[in-house]
Formats: sequence, structure tokens, C-alpha cells
Amino acid sequence: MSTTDVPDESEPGGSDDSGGPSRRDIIKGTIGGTLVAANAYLFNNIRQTSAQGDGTPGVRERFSNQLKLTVNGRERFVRVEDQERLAETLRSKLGLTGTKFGCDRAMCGACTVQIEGDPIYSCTYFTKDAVGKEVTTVEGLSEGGQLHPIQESFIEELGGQCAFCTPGMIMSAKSLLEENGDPTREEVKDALEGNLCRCGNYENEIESVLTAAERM
Amino acid sequence: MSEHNYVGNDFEVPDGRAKVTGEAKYADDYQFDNLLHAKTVKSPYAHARARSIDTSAAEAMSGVEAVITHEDVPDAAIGEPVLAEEPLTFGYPVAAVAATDEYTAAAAVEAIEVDWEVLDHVVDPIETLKPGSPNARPEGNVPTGEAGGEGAEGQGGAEAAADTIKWENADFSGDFPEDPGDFTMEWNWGDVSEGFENAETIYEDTVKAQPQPTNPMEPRSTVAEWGTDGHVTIWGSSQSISLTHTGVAGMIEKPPTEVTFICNFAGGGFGSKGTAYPQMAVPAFLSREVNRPVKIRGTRREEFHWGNGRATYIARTRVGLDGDGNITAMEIDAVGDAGAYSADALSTLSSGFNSLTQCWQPETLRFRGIGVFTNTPKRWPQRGPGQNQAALAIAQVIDEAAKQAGLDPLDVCLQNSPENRGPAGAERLPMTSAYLGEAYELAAEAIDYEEKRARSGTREGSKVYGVGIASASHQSGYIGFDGLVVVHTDGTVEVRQGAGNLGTESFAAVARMVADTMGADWDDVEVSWGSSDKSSFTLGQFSSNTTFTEGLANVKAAETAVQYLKELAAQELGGTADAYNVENHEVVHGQSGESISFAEAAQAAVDAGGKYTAEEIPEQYQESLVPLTIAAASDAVGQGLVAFGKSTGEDLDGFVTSFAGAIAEVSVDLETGKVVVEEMANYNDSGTVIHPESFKAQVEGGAIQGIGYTLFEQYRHDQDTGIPVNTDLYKSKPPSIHDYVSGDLHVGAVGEPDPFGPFGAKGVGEPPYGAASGAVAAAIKDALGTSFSEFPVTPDKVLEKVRAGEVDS
Ligand code: FES
Ligand code: FES
Repeated sequence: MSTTDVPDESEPGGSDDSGGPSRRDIIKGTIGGTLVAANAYLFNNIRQTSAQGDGTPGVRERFSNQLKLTVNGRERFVRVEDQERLAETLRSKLGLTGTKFGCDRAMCGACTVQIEGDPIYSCTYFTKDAVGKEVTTVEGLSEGGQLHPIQESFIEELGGQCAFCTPGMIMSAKSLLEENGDPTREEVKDALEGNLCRCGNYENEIESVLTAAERM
Repeated sequence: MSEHNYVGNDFEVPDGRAKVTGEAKYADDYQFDNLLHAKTVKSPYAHARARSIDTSAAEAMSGVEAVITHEDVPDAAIGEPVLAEEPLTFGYPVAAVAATDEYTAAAAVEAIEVDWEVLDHVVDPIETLKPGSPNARPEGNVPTGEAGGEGAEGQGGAEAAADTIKWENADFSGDFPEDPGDFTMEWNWGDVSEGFENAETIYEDTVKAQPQPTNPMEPRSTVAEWGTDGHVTIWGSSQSISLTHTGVAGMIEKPPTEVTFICNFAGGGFGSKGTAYPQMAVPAFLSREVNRPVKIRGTRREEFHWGNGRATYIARTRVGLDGDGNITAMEIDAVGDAGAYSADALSTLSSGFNSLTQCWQPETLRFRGIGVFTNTPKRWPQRGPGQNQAALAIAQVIDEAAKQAGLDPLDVCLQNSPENRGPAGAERLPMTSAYLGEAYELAAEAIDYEEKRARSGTREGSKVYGVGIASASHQSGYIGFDGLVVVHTDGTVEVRQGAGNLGTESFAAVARMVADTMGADWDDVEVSWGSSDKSSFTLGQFSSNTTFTEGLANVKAAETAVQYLKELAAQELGGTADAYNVENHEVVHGQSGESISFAEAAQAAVDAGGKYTAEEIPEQYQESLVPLTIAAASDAVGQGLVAFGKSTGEDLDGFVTSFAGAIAEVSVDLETGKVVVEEMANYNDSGTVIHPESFKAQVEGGAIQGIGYTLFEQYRHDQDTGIPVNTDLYKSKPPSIHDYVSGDLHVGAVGEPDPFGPFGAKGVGEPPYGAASGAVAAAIKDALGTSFSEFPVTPDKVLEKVRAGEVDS
């Protein structure tokens, strides 16, 4: 397996996805990103010459081996390995650790994120394939501190026990409700069948999704 | 509505928001500037010895910062070594590397050359008792120490000692060996032969309750940072704080005061992360080499190799019933197997036996057991370890014995359910309370038992229906632990508890009890959890005991706090302490109505000092408290009101025992072999329910896991190579959202308070699992009219019975 001596680089902003980097994020920027964050303005012009929506590499990609991803509505530049999976990139380079590794190989759903609105297992999705597509993770659901109705109902109905499966469940539920605003119990089960919950918290998860549907 | 402000009512849990936003930090979510990534070199054999390990090529690789082998870590007795010279199972590590990224670490692992001497292996528990068969461990094939009590579940309590026992004259041709040789454990109540003489119906059967990997959703990841000052900080995934803290400190040979353990969220454990485990020590020893944070990211495969699981329990059970359905005699011969790295096959047996006495109260009994070692991963403990295997193994036996006696199985269950203070265990000591009979009755009502019984055996196309009943129990409360409550000068009440946060919300339930005891406003109560620096010392969060054990210790701390608050109010406002009450976050004079707020009282405590702020530790606590509890108060000493609590022998008289009674209806498709649980009722005697929503979640989750155990889950090893063959989730296989109950899953509580429990509470986590497993097994047997000796009941096993003509048609 190939490797480089270059440490992982993160984009400005650490783990907060709600806008530009805050002071807290820079202080928190423990992913080797502090320097980049402080000099972020230097890259602003490069950003414009970056990859187009069709995935054609721009100047920045060609010169720094960085990809442009669109995650939770923000453009993020990141250096990736050829074989790197989206879950790795999200977690260790973009600081978005809400997406979990439960199995690493498409067996559990803990890593579920949305690509263009569809639920996918990010543990088995190459980061390079996400270029030019809209990626949404659990961190992208709340707006200005206001939780998404699915998040609210998961709190109320105790939708998470250990909650390791919860972010993935929420992303699958979101994809369902965006397509079908008034699902039956069976339809909810079908939508969540790719998300394993070892705590066996399924009844509460179903209830959470049905409650959210009523409110959305 | 509950008579209390908080106990018995639902609330928004303190960690709910973090769980749904992705903010909740699990061990692998912590990120560090100069982090190294660890991976291990694993044995490719079921049993082998590393003659030599050449790490030179790995060490020369760019990006590789540390390499350690078994020579760099302490030896372990029968427990799991951190790294092994002679790995006793496939996938057990011998060496580890730390590198700047995972890819480099993986490449370094590939570059390490191990010269293996392959040794004989045995993976079948009965096989290891055959004359001439290999021993799984160099010391022998059977553990011979004392079994661990149920309170020792997280630690792996059994004493490490081993011997070689082979059953020289046994006949191994049947399900259970005839004329077995020595057992290492024997319990007797009365004279079992007399009991069988008094029986009108005697029935015997052998059931193998299969091994199972735990598979919590979060694989066990750990980050460790060994500072240049020698202080070690560990971010891990654990069910517990106190015991994991001390356990991991022991593993890395440090006093606990030089170790900080942090775990704010654990992605499931179900017993397997009860306390410290060797994966925690691997990054710690690597970090010792370089004083940089080292992370080992657990993988799903590794969960199978060293993630624990459920021990095998093979039991030949014989019961005798008199004409009224009383169990006059129960005789069990059992073999337990907890793998190569645990002596807790014995604990599995004793926990199972204990539970059978609790649930069935036989007039006489003889239980004999022998534990064995096999070259399979450590499997202890998992949710109801022993109890739930025993529940599965006896369910079909009771069903058939009842039928042969011409009785309804429900009546036999009711007839033999325990008296409220009935006896339990080898010593026949009283339980603190027992309402299993009530649980069965509530379940029968919820599922409409009469209707289900009427449908039993009827056909609908290729499907045949059956109904089954079962029970399970667990010892779920302990004394001798510490509580700690701080009232800050801003009026906030802080509960510094030492259980972990594994998703049951019992840490929050403990705080609810404190709030009610202190007349505090919930909004001004803070639960601190997740760091050993602020944890009062308590038992681990396993054995369904947190609500009782930690509840009791912290309610006692809250009572101390109330006493202090009253004394301080009397000093401030006059009168005697007795004249004051606590309510609405104030200390109020019963007659005059004059009051001071908690904030004012805390300030008065600071002004007064002494015992009120723990500047002086009251005499009664000087000896009794664990020093770590006093250390956990250190930052609050002199800064607020500090109150300790200690539960003692005076607080308990008997075994705290929680029960579940379950009834399931199944359909079995004779053409496809598929079993569907159509409906289930699972009712629990857990004492007072503190938090109804999480009670429901525990019972449902337990029931679903229990269904998974009977129908899907297993852990299989190839006999010839000793290599595990189903180390993937879809092969092993935990139930999905489509796999548990197709109709209603009714759950509920008896709700009778326990006389010794805090607010009358007992525990809940484990019994609903065993009751569900047994009920499904009994229901399948009821549908088909034939018993299964091997589990899980997968479609192939059903079809085999159909083809063999064993199924009623
Ligand atoms: S981690 Fe992607 S499916 Fe399990
Ligand atoms: S809540 Fe624990 S795995 Fe789903």
C-alpha cells in the first residue's frame, strides 16, 4: 500500500460546518489544519479556478492533488489517497465524526450519508467519486442551532440507545421523508433495513421517523 | 402519574442532543495533532507459538514510529494478554505498530515476519473432554478456580487455575456424554433422587446454547497518550468508568492516580466492554515508546477475534413434575466453554444455575457443571451471561414436561414461580423481592394467551403456529459502593457518578433519584459522567445493576446533602435542623416558611468549611470510601457543599433479583423453514420503574437480541483448522429491522417496589433477553411438536426435521 509522509490536511474550519471558521474551530483545529486555517484567504483565488461541477480538475486539483467536495452545502478542499473512502475523508480530514465506521464494509449502515439526496454507505464509496456531488452528513441537518424535525423526534422518542447507529439511521430516514412525506410503518422499516441497530432499538427508531413525518 | 416529581416520569435525557447531531464523541472520534495509528500482527492459526518475530523491516519504514511485541508487555495469567507469545486463538495479536497513518501501519504489519510453531488445537467443548484430545491451554483443558459472582461480570471474575480432566469412560455418541467423568462444580438442594421419586412425570433433554459474538455497533477503539511526566490518558469505549479506570491502570502497571480514563459515549457493549480490555493497553504501550497519542481503531473483524461474546452452555436437563405441576426435582449436567482466555466458563455455569433456582424454585436439585477451555475467543460476559443460555436451554424441557403431565405450560410456570422472598443460589438465600408470577400473568393478558393457545398447532397454508412461555432472571443490585453529590454556590446540584454511559440512560436515572431525594429542580441538576477524574467509585455498568447499586449509593449521598442543607439552614435562620425540609431547590422551615436557596446554603457551607465542604472527611467515610471517590471531589473541596454516600451491609438483606416472563407466538413455514415471531409479550419485575421510556427501550432491545439469539446468531469455528468461519455481520447475524416481531411486541413492568432498592428500583437490562429466547424456542417446539438440541433454529434445521419426519403434521 502506498503512503506519503505528508500529514493529513484539513480544510479551514475544523468540524463546524455552519459557516466560516470560528475562533473556537481554529483553536479546536487539531487535525493539522491550524496553519491552513490562518492562511485560508490565500486560497480564495484558487478556489475560483477549482474543479467544475462535472468533475474536471481545476488548477488547484492539478497542482496540489486536492479535490473539491461539496459537503453540507460548503466547498471543502481535501487531499485524498486514490483508495480513500468517503467516510475516512469525512471523519479524519474534515472533522465530521458524526458519520461512523461500524463495519468498514457495507454491512451495517452506521456510515450512511446522503449523496445527491440518496442514502449511501460512505465506508465503501470512494471519495473521488463524490466530486461534483452534494454530500450531506448528520452535521448538516441543523440550521443555525435549530434541529431538524427528525433529530428532534429522535431525542423525544429515545431513538438512540448507545446511538452509534443513530446518525446513519437519521440519514436514511431523511432520504425516505424527502421522497415520501407520509410513510407507513412498513415503509419506514423498508427504508431503515440497511441500518443495523445492535441495541435493538428499532421500535423507537420507527416511532421517531413516524413522529418526524407528522411534523414535516 | 408518579407520586414523585421525577422518579417514574419521562424526561429529556441529558445526552440526547449530542446523540442526534453527531456531536457525541466516541473513542474513535477524538482527534489529535500528532496522532499515530496502531495496528496489530495477528496469529493466522488457532493455536501457535511465535518462535521469533523480525520487526526490522517494519521499523525501517518511513512513518513507522513504534513497534512492540509480546516481550514488551506484562504477562497475563488466564486472562487475555495484551500481546501473546503463544496466541491461543486465531486472530489474537503478537505484536503491534504505530505509524503516522493507517495505511503505513497496515504496510508495517505486513512487513513483520513471524516464525510460527503451529500447535494442536481444539474448538469443540465436548471434544476437549475426550481422552487423548488436545488441551487448548498449556496449563490444562479445564478451569478449576472459583466461579466469579454475577457482580464480577465485567471483570471476568473467575479465579485463574487450570487442570486437565478427560472423561475416560464416557460414551460420547449422544448429544451429551453418557457416564461422564468428574465435574468441577456441584450444587444440591435436598435429595434429588427423592424428588424424582415424588414426580409423576419425568422428562429429559439436552440443549446446546450456542456461542455468539457480542458485536456492539461500535468496534472497540482506544486512544492513549503516555505523557513524558508518566501520566497516561486513555479515551476508550467502555460501559463503565470506575472499574475500567482501575482495570486499565492495572493492565499497564500504573497506579490509578496516574491514569485518567475518559469515555463519554460507548457504542454498545452488552457486557463485552464491562471493564478494561487488552485493546486499551496496546496503544498505551505504543505511546509509552514515543509519548505521542496513539489510536487503535477497532475493526469489525477484530470484534470477532477479541471482542468477547456469549459462552457455550451445553446442558442435559431432567425435570420431575408432580400431579399439580410442581417441580419436585431438577437435575442438570452441563458443560460451559468461555474460550481460551477466560476461566469464566465456571461463572457462566454458576450464573445459569443461580437463575434457574430463582425462576423455577425446584423442591430438590442437583446441578453439576464443568467448564472447559477451547481455542476460541474469550466469551464472557454477554447480556445475561449464563442466565440467558440457561433460559434458552430449559424452555423446551418445561414445555414438553408440562404437556406430558397433561398440564398447560403457563400453569406450570405460574405454579413454580418464586415466593416474594423465595430462596436462590447454592446457599438458598432469600431474594429481596420476586414477582415473576405477576409478570407471566401480565404477559398472558397482553398477548391474549387463550387465543394463542387455541391457535397452537393449527395450519395456514404451509405455516404452522405455536406459542411458548419462558422466564429469565438476573441478580441486579449490590452494596459497598460510593456516591458523591456536590451543591455548587450557584445552586447547581452535581451528581458525580462513576457508572458509564452505554446508552441505557441509567446514569441519568440515578440523577433523577438524587433530584427527588433533595427536592431539587431538575433544570438545576447536572450529571457528570465520562471522566474518571469526577467519578465516585462504583461497580461497573453491567449485571443490570446501575439503577440499584449506583442509585442507592447516590441517594445516600443525597440524604447526606439534605442533612447538611438542613443544618446549614438552621445555622443561618435559627431553629433546629429537623424543622427544615427541602423542596423546590430551597431549604424551608416547616412552620415559619422561612427559607434559604440551595445557592445560599452552598455558600454557607463554604463559609463553614469542615465536613460541609469535605475539608474534613467525616469519620464514617474515612475508612469506608474508596480513595478515588475522595479524589473525585478534590476540585470541589472548599468550593461548595460536598456530600458522600456509602451503601453498606445494613442496606441489603438478600439477593436483588430482577425477572422477566415472556410469551411468544411463532409461525413456522414448513416449506421454507422460516420462523417468524408473530407476536410477543415481555413483562418484567424490575421494581419501581424510574424512567419509563428507557425501561421500554431496554426490554424491547433485550427481547430483540433474545430473538436474534434463538433464530440467527452464532459463532462457528471450523473443526479442522480452528478458524472462525462467519466473521461478518451478515453471517453471524444480529437481527435487522425486519427480523424480530412481525406483529406487536408488548412490553411492560410489574412495578412492585423492591423493599431495599432506591425508590424501590431493581434492574432491567438482561432478563428480557433470556425470556424472549426461551419463549421463541418453546413456541417453535410447540408448533412443530419436536425439540431442537442445536441453536439457532435456522431454516435448514427446521427443514431437516421436516424431512426426517419428526414434525407433527
Ligand atoms: S461502516 Fe459502512 S456499512 Fe458499516
Ligand atoms: S442505538 Fe445502539 S446500535 Fe442502535
